[in-house]
Amino acid sequence: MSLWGSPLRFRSLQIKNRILRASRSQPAAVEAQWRSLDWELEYARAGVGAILSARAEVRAPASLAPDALTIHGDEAIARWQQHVGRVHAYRCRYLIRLGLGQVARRLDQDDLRDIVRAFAEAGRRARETGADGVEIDGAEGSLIAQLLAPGVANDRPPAFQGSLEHRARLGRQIARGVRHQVGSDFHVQFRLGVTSPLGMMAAGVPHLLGWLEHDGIDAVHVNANAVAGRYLKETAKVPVVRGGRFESEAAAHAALEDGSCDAVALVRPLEFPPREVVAPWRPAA
Amino acid sequence: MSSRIADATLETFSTSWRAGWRGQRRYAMLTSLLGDPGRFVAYGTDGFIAFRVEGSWRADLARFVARMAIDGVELIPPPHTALEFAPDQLTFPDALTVQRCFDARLGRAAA
Repeated sequence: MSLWGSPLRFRSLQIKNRILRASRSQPAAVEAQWRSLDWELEYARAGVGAILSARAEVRAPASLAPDALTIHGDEAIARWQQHVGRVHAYRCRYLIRLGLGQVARRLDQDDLRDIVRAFAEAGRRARETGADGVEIDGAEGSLIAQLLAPGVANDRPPAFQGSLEHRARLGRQIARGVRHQVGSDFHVQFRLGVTSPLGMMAAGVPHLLGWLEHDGIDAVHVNANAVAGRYLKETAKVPVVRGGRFESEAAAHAALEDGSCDAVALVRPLEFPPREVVAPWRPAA
Repeated sequence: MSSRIADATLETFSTSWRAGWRGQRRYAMLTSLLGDPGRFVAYGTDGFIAFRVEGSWRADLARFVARMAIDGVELIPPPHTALEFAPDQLTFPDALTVQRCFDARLGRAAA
């Protein structure tokens, strides 16, 4: 059997094949919507091993569209529970992506403490929905990515600016906070933005990955090209899920076979309505 | 009537459905009906009776949760111990796993 159709075992989760369906990245100003979740059922039916949700906001923004996808209050649990339950019916796993968009104001210590707490609480809610895990969004457009970047002077407390260790502090605190809330047997993965090997090294991603592994993550999801993916795969102790610009299904196959990842997260080659990928769900005869 | 969910008859949820509780420590868990994305199966027990009831995620979930709240039932989140879906599994989590969760709760409460 090719790697494509073989099961992947994470520390506390197994998925039936190496294909994940990742939601479209939303521009920072556009919130994902609840109604978009119905589309995900088609991917579950097509046979993907797991679905990664669009970014669910862990805190209520100042203005929230009526249908915005959130997980910032306990009232969201029942809605997620229903969706996760429907996806599971196809023997497909479901991970909720927890995130916050970038902000255009100075963040102080209290803001950052509240943000870590909001992520941790969202993790607890995600577990209560019956989801199989969470993905912490630290890729482009996220607040975590904003703080990983050098930024401008005085847009954050000194402990969060300057060295990589300082800039990684928020992401690491979030990873530890989520892990503490969800317990040791719940899958937690981290999504990082990596475009090129040079960008990856400059951003200190290999160091950051090592720290996050120490903080308890079970997998990393990177939008990386083949070279960067292979470097991370060789460096990482946890499985690497590679997303990003696969121009065709053949390119995704190649990514799995060239050793640059343990699983692929696809959007483009599985456009709606999705094609069957491996062993699609069939109704009982 | 058995207190084991595996022995319970599968009922269909409706507005008139009642669990027939006899004990005060009441637990329930929602599970997916594998193969039917429109339906859930809820298991429940108080250590004296057990039930299995099927309903529609869209039409019945809110009413079922409200019914459990009225009855003073603790809805237990699904555990994360099952690594894979077994071929003959009917619900996720499966009934045995759910029963273990109930037993752990009832055992702790009784201790």
